[in-house]
Amino acid sequence: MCFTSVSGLNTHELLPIPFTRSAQRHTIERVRALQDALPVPLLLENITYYAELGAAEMPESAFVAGVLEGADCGWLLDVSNVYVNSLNFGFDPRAWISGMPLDRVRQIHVGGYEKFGEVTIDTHGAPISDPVIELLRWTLAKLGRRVPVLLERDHHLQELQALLLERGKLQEAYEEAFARPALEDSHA
Amino acid sequence: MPSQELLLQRTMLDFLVESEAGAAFAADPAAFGRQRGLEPAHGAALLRFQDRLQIYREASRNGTQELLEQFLPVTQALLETGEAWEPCVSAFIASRSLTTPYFRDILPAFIQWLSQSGWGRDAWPTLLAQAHFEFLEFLVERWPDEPRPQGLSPHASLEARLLLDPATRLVQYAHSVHLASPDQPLAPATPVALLAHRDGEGVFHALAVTESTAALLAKGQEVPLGEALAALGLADAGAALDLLQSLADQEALWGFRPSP
Repeated sequence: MCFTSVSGLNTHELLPIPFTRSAQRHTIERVRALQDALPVPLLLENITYYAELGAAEMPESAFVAGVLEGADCGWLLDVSNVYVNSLNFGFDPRAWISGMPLDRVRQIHVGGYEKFGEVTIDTHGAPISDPVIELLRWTLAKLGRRVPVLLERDHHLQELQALLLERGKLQEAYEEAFARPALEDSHA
Repeated sequence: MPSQELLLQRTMLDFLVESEAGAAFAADPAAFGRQRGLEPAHGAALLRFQDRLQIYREASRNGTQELLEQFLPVTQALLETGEAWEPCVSAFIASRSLTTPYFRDILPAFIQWLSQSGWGRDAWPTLLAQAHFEFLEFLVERWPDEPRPQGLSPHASLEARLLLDPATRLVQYAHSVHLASPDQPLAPATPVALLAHRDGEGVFHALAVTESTAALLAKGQEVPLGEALAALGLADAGAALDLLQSLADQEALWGFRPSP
């Protein structure tokens, strides 16, 4: 849920949409039009962002939730993006996720990030961190249903064996989320 | 009148692409926004996120520069002899030539911009040809595979026409750009005709050929080789067939299509 081009020029960057009511209405209209034109369900993904563009009229969570509800579309929940944003903007990622329309989640993404000075950047170039794996497990338990999870890695690619080990850790967290759902109440 | 949201997006674009925007924004983000029609509240937000917004400028510019450096190492080395590589990339970004979301379109857009703008032409006469030649390598190596037609002969004959891989290109340059390298980026000022092709392993090769061979390679695709030799006034058919056979043996040609 971002913009990449302006006036026909492409920036090749995922730029944050201004968190305003007008931009939210515009995004909803665009998503509805796109959904009408597509023969398959559309999922929108929450991004990492490093700055708000302009004066925000609402927090990111309200912007994203409003678009998902207003456009009546599915959500590709990127757990790592929530976590990276929580580091950069100082909020509780579980509280953020808890306040969102989780019934719309159809798929989850996780990826690696790296810290550059004071800012954490979503690079897809590092192993998935333990806090993100724990947030994934917690999110799945809260969802209470199985959805596909995708490991994103497109920089500094490791050997296949290392990636498979990482995938194994994610699978463990996945299974654990459904093996002990009772624990989740204490986290929520 | 454009909305404030659209003005915010345009301001962001200016910030990302304009060469001097980094310094202007750093000096006074609110003024940067005001000059672009933003209301004070948005200008204040630009000020609040001044440092974080620089991340986008750096990421966007580095992404373009790194891609160009990956595929144009000789061009980069040529311009670095005059500390002009980064100014060149900066001028390209500021030209607002990137209109598609595809990274594969950045390289051809850069070549087209060099050609149309004439940037650096006087100071580096080999610049455009060098960049074009490196782009050619990118193009030939990645050209989609097409099935080789059935019934081709591996042997050159006067009755047959030439068939080239659709990825193959015949090009001419005013400088011998194929001889330049990152260590010796200035191409000799000798005109050259090149047969640019990829071998069975997909590896790029550029074979220097004479002007008459280049003409035969072009004409021999249209008409039988005997006719092509006559049209070009090339008397030594045996030598020409030997040469074409040698090119076919090097996988520079797909083969020879017998006349129907």
